Amino acid sequence: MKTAEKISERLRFKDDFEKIEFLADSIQLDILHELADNTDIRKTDIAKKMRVSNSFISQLFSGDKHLSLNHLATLIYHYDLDFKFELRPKDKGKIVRFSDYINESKDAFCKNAESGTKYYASKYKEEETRKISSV
Amino acid sequence: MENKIEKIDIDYIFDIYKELKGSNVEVYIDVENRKEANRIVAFLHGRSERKKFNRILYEILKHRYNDSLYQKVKGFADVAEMRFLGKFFGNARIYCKEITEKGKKVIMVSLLYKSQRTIKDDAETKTAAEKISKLTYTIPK
Repeated sequence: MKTAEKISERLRFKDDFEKIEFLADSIQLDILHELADNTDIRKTDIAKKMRVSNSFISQLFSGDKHLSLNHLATLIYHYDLDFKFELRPKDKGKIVRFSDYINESKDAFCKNAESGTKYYASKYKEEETRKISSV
Repeated sequence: MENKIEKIDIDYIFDIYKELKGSNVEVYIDVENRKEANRIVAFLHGRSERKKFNRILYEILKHRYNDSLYQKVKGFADVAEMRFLGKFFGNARIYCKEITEKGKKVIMVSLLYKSQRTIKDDAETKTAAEKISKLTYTIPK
């Protein structure tokens, strides 16, 4: 086996748990970069506000320690930051809303409002269940 | 003379972050010095080391620098170090050459330094960076 193959083999995630760990680490790095790269806030100031040591901040930036929601809230509060959070299915094309079904076949819906509602409501529920299970 | 290199497959990261495939970053390892390459392989045996290496790869793929993980060596535009700070990792650093050509960025993993001395010990870093900076590679198309 080639050296590079050995390295790839070692680095590859062994299970879902390792994938989730990596995902958590990368989300943390994104948040910290957002803070450090887009503001004038220094790491030493962050440490003071969070009442932690400078080395703790370094460990956060290396992913060795985890950023808690409390840490994040402390930063948002002290630096008067605007925090936006978005969570959505990766495959945006498959997002289906009740209103989409109504627009899709408005005529059919109007013909029999009662049965139409039931039909579309069940389709919507089906789609929602599928989305949740795919996540 | 140019050193022999091998490409490290990082597709497992693209399985999670498909958009990072467009970052145009490729990671290679210098295998000219087998002993040195094997030291890097052995270092990445531990779970913590693997986890940290993947975090470093994430930073690289995002074209970011972070003085706790991956930082350019002062005075060298084309040399960077992967930092495994702390007693647990023995303050290990993996030195890499950064090559940018034809719109792609290549990270050449080259040397592993491990010492209990602090990261601020510049002499060792400078020696490693000078060595790396002189190396030449031909990147396959």
